[in-house]
Amino acid sequence: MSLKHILKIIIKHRNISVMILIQIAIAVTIVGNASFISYGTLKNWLIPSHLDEVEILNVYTKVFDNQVDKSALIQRDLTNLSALGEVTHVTYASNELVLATVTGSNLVYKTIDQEEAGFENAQFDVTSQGVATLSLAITQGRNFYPNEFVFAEASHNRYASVVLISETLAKSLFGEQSALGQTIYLQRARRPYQVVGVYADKMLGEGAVYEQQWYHSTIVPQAHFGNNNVNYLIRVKPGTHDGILKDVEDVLYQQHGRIVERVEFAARAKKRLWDGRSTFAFIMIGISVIAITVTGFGIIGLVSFSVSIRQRDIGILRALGASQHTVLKTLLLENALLAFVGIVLGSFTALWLNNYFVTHLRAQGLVEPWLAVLVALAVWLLSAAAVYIPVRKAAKIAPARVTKTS
Amino acid sequence: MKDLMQLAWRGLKQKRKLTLLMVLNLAIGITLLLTMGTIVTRSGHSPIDQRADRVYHVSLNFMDPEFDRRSEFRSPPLTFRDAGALAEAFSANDATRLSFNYTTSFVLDLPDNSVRPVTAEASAADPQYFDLLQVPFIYGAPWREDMQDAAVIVLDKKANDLLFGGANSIGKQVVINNRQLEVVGVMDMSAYLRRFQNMRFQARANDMAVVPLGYAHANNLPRTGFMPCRTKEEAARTRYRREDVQGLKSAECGYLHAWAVLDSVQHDNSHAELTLWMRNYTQQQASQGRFGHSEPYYLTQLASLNDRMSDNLYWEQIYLKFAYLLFAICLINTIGILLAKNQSRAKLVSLYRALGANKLYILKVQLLELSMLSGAAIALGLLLAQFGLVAMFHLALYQADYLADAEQVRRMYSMDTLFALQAAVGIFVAIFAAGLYPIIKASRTAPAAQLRG
Repeated sequence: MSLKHILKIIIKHRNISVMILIQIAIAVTIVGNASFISYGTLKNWLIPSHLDEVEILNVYTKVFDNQVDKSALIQRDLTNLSALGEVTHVTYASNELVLATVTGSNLVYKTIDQEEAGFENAQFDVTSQGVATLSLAITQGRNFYPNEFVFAEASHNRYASVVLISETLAKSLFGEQSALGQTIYLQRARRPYQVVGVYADKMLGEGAVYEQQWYHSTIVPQAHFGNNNVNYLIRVKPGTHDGILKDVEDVLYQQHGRIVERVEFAARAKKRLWDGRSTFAFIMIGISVIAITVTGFGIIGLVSFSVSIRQRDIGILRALGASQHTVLKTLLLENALLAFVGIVLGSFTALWLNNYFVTHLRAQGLVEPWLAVLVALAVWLLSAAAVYIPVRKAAKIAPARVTKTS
Repeated sequence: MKDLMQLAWRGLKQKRKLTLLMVLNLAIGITLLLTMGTIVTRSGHSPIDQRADRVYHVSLNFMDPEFDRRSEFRSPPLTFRDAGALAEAFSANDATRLSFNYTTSFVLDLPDNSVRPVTAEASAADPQYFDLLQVPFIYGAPWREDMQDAAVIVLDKKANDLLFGGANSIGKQVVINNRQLEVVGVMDMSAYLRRFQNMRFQARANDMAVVPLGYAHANNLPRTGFMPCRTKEEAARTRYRREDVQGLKSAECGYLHAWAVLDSVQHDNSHAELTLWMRNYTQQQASQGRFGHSEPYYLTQLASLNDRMSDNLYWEQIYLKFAYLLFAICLINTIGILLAKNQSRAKLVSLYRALGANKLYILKVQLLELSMLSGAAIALGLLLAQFGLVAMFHLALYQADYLADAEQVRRMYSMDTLFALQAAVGIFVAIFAAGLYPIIKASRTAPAAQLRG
């Protein structure tokens, strides 16, 4: 049967055709947008952290009693925490914790030029066991010397002079040049530090990850105290159970005038980093699956109805010599045409809706052309599969049926 | 009527699989629509909805001309001196009741250290705060008007549970910064879905304690909320937050949120009076080099802020848009299923017509049948939406890493009866409108036309 005849049939049964077409268009709109939004999130979610997430603990405490001597408290805490059986290393962390940026943004600059935008960076200010606690593998240069560590009251304005940086940050700052011996400038105050070593990448900073600078980080051998936050990073032996969280809390609560706000594995901080966006993505995928299922059943129903009211036409076709294969091909082609128009219409609606979501509802769902093609293909396959079930039945209509009904 | 009902019921039972498919198909769409619609609607509600149209956030914009407010939620709080001028101007005005507060945070401890201390997100406020929020008290009452500088505190139920195991703690002492305060009341803020009093509208937690504003100033409880400063004072902002309360009192930094509750009878007059005062005050202050911004004051109704809150739920708004689209697919399916069903029983309808049933009779039977179907689908959808809301509640807690106040979040994800009724009526009308085409088509079946075969 020619395309012209198929078009005539579509026009004759235009109400059903329009309903199938709209269903497909809406399905493409939903699935397309869900794919665009989910893809961006899940792509980031799968980036490896290279972290021993269940061997590092973040410890957040707050000293609310101003009469407590914080320097002595920190020294005492470090000793007491190290004495716990499962703890292998511990460091005071006066700036960031693993995947938990405690203080505002930490930027790194290549120059002291105030116009330079800088790079988002996870800046870990640590005491002597900091590098071991984070288990950093130094690939160029050296580790810190003991005399390079600064432990001072924040108001005394004493800072370290050296820094370790991650490989990716070294590349961002100096390209193919060696970073060793170079000077970098940290935070808005642009304090200078000389790079003495470069270490293998780890995903360490919450703020940095948020800005998609997954592996930007610096380790500074300085620990400032004075404000209320007194935080620690702890490395525990592999296979350590959750009971360590309470043990750490109990040790810290031996000191009155402080509150232990949280003790958690880095894995929990990582979960927190993604759980909002990943949940959003998974809900979108869930809605898409429901939409696809409902659309699939809808198409089966509509095509079944369409075929049932055309039984006589199909019977005449068969009586005039059309084979089952020809009838099947004709009906599939008819629905393929409808699916094509529905997909084109749906693609435009999906693009419009995506633009609306991005501009009005702050969605991060940029259109990926290959993903759009994949969605179109998937919906077309779905519609073909849904159509095939009733159409195969229709193709089997016996020619004798025509004579019976007439 | 009885025979109509019987025929409609019989119609439902014919082709049971199609009937079931139609109900399930509609129920899926309704479930998603009700679940997402409820979340968006609930987010804009508060227990004081009935007076939200006469509660106003009062902001005098002392900021530099280039200050960008970005949204209603970022209207500058009042400076100390502007708050004083406003309070003085309306002190004797019963039709405009004002309340002032600032957001603070401290650690609550007990004098004998018998329990572990608790970090409390809190407010420093005047006693009108409790009238503004209409907070229910479990024990005790707010402090008296003349106790603004007294060392007293009202705890929320959560803090009272943690510190005193939920027992009546009136008259007991708590410690903040080595100073003891007497508990005078225990309130229950759990009905509040959002912490609107500091314009943050946080959904995850509310005030765990409230202390008198005078006491908070005298003891320099930190100012932890939104605190914009004019450029010339920007460098001192951190100091004003934690240390220099005396300096803050004369600084161009806003930290005091003012709310006005207008009398319901004299609402328009009170609104006009308040607006006039703000205009006159800012004009008068302009001679001192202040209020150079093109928008020198903002008077924002709580009801409009609640509405905006719903609009700002970006993810939920996206879910809701998708729910509408999915419901559209379900409606199209309904038309398809109805057409198929009617096609399969065309002979029966034709027979009815041949036996004397007119078009209107057929129409009535079919409409009744559709009503029954819609009713069943809506009832099932309402039931499934309860599960949908429970699922979304757990997802919300997961998203918040279980750090949110579960009770507050649960209320956000609870079915709103009024909304459910309104939505059910809307859905019923939509299904009816969608079902008209196949029903009218069926009613036009000619008598005996289908009986030949």
